[in-house]
Amino acid sequence: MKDFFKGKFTLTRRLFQIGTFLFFLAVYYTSHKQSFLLGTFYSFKLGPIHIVDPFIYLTYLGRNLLKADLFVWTVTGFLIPLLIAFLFGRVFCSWICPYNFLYEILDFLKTHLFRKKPLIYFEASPKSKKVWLALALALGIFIPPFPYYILMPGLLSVLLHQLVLHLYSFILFSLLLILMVLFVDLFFKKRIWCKFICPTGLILGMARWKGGLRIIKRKDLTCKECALCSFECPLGLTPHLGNHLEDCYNCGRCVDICKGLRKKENPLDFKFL
Amino acid sequence: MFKTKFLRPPGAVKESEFVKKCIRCGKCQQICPYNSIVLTSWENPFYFGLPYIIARKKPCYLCMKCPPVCPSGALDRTLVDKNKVKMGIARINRDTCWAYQGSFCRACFMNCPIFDKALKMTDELLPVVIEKYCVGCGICENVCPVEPSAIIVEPLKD
Repeated sequence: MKDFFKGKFTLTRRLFQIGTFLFFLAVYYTSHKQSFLLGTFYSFKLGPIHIVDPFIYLTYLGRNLLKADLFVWTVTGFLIPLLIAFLFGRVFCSWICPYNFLYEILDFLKTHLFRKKPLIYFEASPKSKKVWLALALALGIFIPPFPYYILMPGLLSVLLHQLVLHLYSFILFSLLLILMVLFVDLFFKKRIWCKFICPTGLILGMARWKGGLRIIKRKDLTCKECALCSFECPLGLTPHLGNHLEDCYNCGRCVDICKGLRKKENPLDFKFL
Repeated sequence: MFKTKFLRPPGAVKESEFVKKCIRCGKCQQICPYNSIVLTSWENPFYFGLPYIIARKKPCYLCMKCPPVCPSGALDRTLVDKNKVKMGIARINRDTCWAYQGSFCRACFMNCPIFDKALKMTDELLPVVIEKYCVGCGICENVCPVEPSAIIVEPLKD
C-alpha cells in the first residue's frame, strides 16, 4: 500500500484524485441548496461558467449545426479544458479523471497481489488515432447516445449522483458499462482505453502544445539506463529512452521513481516552457 | 418494447430537438429540490441519460429552478413564468374517474397549480381539462386516488 502513495508527485496526485471524489460528493449532497457548483464530468457549472467536455460539445455542435444554442458561458467553458491541455498537457486524465483513479487502483492490485502478466500488447499510430477520433465524432453526431456510452469520467460522476439519490436501475446499467470497459482494459498491456479509445483524452492530447508542461530527459545528467521509469509508467511508455512522450499524461510517476547516478541528480524532470 | 413517450422537465424544446440538444450533464436533476427528475437507462437505452419525470411517482412542482442551469439550450433558459410551461396535456379517463362514476372527488382540481384555469369543475362536480392552460406538470396524475391514475399527462408530440 505504501507504494501507492510513494513519491512527491504521486502523493500530491493521489490527494487530487481523492479530493475530486470528495468534492463531487459534497456537490451532490448540497446541490438542492446552491446552484454555484453543479454538474458532472460531461459539463460542470462553476459560477456562471459551464465547463463542458470538448468531445461532448463538438458532437453537440455537429448534431445541431445552425440550430445550436451558442450560450456565451458554455462556449467559454468549452475553451477552458482546451487551454489547460494546451499549457499543461493531459493533466486532467492523470490528476482528476475518476476512471483513471479506478483503473490505477485495479492496476496496483493486479501487479502487486495477483502478479499476472498482461496479455495483449497494442500500439496505435498517431494517424490511426486521428482516424478513430473522426469516426467517434461521426458516430457521436449521428447516434446521440454514443458518447455517453464510452466516456467513463462522465458516466462515473453521474453514477455517483444516482448513488446519492438511490436510483438503482440507472446504477446497475452504468455499472455494467463501466465493468465492461474495465474488463476490456485488464486484458491489454497498460491502458488501451485511456491511450487510444477515450475521445476526450485524444482531443486533449491533440490540443497539447509542445512547449507546455512535459517530461524531459536532461542531457547534462547521466542516466543509469535502469529503465525503472519504464517499468513503472502507468501508460507503458519508455521515458528512459527519452522519446515518444506525446501519449504521456504528466502524472510524474517516472520523475518520482527515477534514481540518478548521484543523489538529487535525477535525469528525468518536468519542464514548463 | 421500449418506452418512447417521456415527460420532459419544464421548458424543454420539442422532443426531436431535445434528444439532439440535451448533453445529459444531469444539472437539472441535481438542482431539482423534489428529486422529480430521473435519468433514462433500461427504459430505452437509445435515450440513455436523458432526464424525464415519472408523474405518478413524483410530479413537477413548477419551482422553475432547472431551466436556468441548462448549458445547452435543451431547456429554455429564459423561462421563469410557470404559466407558460408546456410539458404535456392531462387527459381524464372518464370510465374510471370517480367523479364521472358518481362519487364526490375533486383531488385533481384542488391540487392543480394553475388553479381554476387548467382544470375546471363543470356544475361543481365533473373535472374538465382546459388544454389551453394545462402545463402538464403531472400533479393531478400524482394525487389521483384511482389506481391506475384516471388522469394521465400525455407528453407533447413534436
